[in-house]
Amino acid sequence: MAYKALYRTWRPQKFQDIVGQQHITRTLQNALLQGKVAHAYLFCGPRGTGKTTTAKVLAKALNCLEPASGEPCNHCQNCLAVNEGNSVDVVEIDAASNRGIDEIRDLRERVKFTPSTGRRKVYIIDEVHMLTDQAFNALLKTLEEPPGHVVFVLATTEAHKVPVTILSRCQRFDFRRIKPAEMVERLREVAKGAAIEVNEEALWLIAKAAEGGLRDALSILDQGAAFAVDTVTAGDIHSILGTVQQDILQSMVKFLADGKTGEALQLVSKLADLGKDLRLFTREMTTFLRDLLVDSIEGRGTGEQISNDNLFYLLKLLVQAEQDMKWSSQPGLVLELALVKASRPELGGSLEALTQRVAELERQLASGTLPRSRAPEITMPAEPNPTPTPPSPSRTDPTEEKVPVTPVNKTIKEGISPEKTSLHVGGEDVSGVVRQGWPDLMGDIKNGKKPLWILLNETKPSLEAQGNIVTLFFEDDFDVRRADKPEYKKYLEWLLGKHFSGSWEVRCVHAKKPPLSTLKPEEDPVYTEAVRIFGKDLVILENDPSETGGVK
Amino acid sequence: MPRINEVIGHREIVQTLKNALQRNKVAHAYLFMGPSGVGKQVVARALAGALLCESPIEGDACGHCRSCRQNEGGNHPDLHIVGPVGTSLKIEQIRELQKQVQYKPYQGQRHVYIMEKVDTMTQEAANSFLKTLEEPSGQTVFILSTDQPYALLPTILSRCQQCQFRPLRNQEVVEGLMRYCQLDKDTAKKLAPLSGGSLGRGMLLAEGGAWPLREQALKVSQRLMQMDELEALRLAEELSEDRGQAAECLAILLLWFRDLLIYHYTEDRHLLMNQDKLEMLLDQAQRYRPGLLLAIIEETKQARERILANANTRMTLEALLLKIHSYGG
Ligand SMILES: [Zn+2]
Ligand SMILES: [Zn+2]
Repeated sequence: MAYKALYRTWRPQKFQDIVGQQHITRTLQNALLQGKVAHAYLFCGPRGTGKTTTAKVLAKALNCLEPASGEPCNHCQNCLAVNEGNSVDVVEIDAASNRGIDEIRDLRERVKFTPSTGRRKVYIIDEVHMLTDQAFNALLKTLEEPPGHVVFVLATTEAHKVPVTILSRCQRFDFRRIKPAEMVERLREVAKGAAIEVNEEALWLIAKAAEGGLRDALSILDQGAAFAVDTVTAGDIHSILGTVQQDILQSMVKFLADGKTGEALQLVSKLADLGKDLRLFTREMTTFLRDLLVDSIEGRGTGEQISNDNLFYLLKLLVQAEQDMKWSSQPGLVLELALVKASRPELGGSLEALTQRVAELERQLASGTLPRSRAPEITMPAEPNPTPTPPSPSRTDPTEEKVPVTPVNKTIKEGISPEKTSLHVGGEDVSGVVRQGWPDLMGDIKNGKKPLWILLNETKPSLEAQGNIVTLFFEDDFDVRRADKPEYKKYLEWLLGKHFSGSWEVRCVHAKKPPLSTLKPEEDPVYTEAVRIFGKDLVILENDPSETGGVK
Repeated sequence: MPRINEVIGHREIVQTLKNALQRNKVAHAYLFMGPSGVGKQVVARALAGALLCESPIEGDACGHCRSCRQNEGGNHPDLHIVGPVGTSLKIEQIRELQKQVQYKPYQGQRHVYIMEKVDTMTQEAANSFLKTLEEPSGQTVFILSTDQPYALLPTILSRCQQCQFRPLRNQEVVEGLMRYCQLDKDTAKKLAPLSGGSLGRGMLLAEGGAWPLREQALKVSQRLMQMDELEALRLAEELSEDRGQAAECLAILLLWFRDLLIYHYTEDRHLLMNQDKLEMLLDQAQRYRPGLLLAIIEETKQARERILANANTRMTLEALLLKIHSYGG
């Protein structure tokens, strides 16, 4: 028997079954009843909160042959066609995939046709923020003069990436994270319907772990059912998730606050021996600390004598650690370091002193006074060639051959004195020059490496150039993975050489430390993470995002 | 080919798979996610073996039937292994697969596909494969694996039953090293902590491939605080001959300084990774203040990341060694 994920089998078929979004479903039902459905909706919200589901129910309700109080009947042929995914009038487009791009391309042509069976043609565009500029333009033109029979539902997890021109033409609904109590209720229904025995404690644990996304919750329940012998228990869920019981979190916080570094490290090692997932543990720690902090701020302290400042200091370190662990090949090490720092705030001071000495050293390196000049075996041309040879025109595919690397001495056009750019640690900031030439570069990329162009055009990474190193900062870690391919980097390095001469190095990074000038505070990952743990209402942006912590 | 019952570690996953087999509730697609070298492929093969076995015992492969023998020999006609060609898994491979699943399996009830490194699928391939996942044909089972689940289309993730593999526990690596590398218990115990929970890495160490590099790295650790600038630069040049080796060398150094730091606070030898070099470790432990260790670790960590992100190896190492030199001098 084929496995079908619970969240697919138990996708709500009516507005009434959609959990936790009454403020939206009620408005939609009213609009349906009054015949006042808009031409375009924008559904924003975190993943798994019901955006696509709601869009589909809306599509059914619009075309249903026997609707009742704004709900689809779910058994007429139009409803069934949508449920089975073969309705010609309800078109789902995944903007994240190639198929999406193709479909948008001829959207303007297609919307002219009237619906074949239903009353309305409904276009559901998922992850709409992923559309390319071209596709956005095509969409915009359609939205400007929408034919009467068309309804657009644009869904996105990242509304801030959707152009304002599009936003202003849509009625916007914000889907919120589903509350644990609502989630538990739905989980209970699904479990009952799917004949899964699960106890109450386990349900709450799942609801907590899912962080407001019903799809994640159902997926955990799925795994629980597959793992459990008969009844799914809290222990099963802990095993699957690799999470730990509350008291362990409590002891860890106490060790950290009391400066018991050794005990904290011992505890982590014990958890690792138990096969616990250390990144999840770190995540749990942040949630736990957050709860402590909120309790303390609201005067519900439990007698623990940890100051708010200290709690915040711990929280900040662990939030950062959790982020870093995601990409590290040695996540355990990242956590251990964070715990040492968390329990020994005084080490911060000595680190600062060292950093200052490093800065001094870098200055020396940059000015060339130390110590390269004393190292004759390291080749370094005393006089850099003022006009580096441009790549020969016959070289067409840079990925085929090695780009010669001359690590030292980089000249970028005229006017930038070469001796200042001797080592990358002190490399000259040439971001301006590179940014200026970037549109030209993009032109070449468009012709030379289309997929890369689409990626860069879509994600618009901010850019920094130090010496001969160009760093591209991507907001989304997913995009870094897409961009960070040797093939792409080699190509970009070659192209940079072609445009600015000399040899270059390209790095793609997740915008952990983007240049301040280009970083909007809302895009700061620490801010996003803070919103995740505290909720948007509690996080206030001050002028300098690095100081919102109030802790040094 | 191991049987499911012989898999080392991953208790939850093994249990889940055994339940599915016994309850006849096998999913049509599994996604094995987790770091490399922890056993995703081993479990995938064991699951495939159980699925293809002609007379399974409590869901697990019998080990004797024709299918099991074919699996042992790596030539079962209904077991297909698909992996990246060059750097990516390509649309042609997916098309080929889609053609194959149309045909009846040669001898059993089903085709089993083991698909490795699915994160390398091109977008075209992923989109095309999505269709296959949406409309599974017959009894075909897909076992996908990746160490970078973040790089997958969410639509692929959500259509598979997900199994999250974690690093192995120390004692499990010990068990594995004893079983597969015929190490004695003491040697295995010394070696296991260096594997970082990856039996694959542990086995590599056991085969001796990584030892010379480690010796070199540890020599660096000893000279680090005494060397002058010239020596630091020479060392950087020496280490930078091979990017991969340089990164590996820094990884070794990281574990070393991590041990020094951990020992400073716990004085517990059992928590240390470099079990085979305790004497040298304890000797060095007295020379470092924790603040300095922390700084060295941070710098080394960053340098390693830079090198892995394709920065110029020699310059990165030069900067690192000169920085550390300036801390000490
Ligand atoms: Zn209907
Ligand atoms: Zn058999």
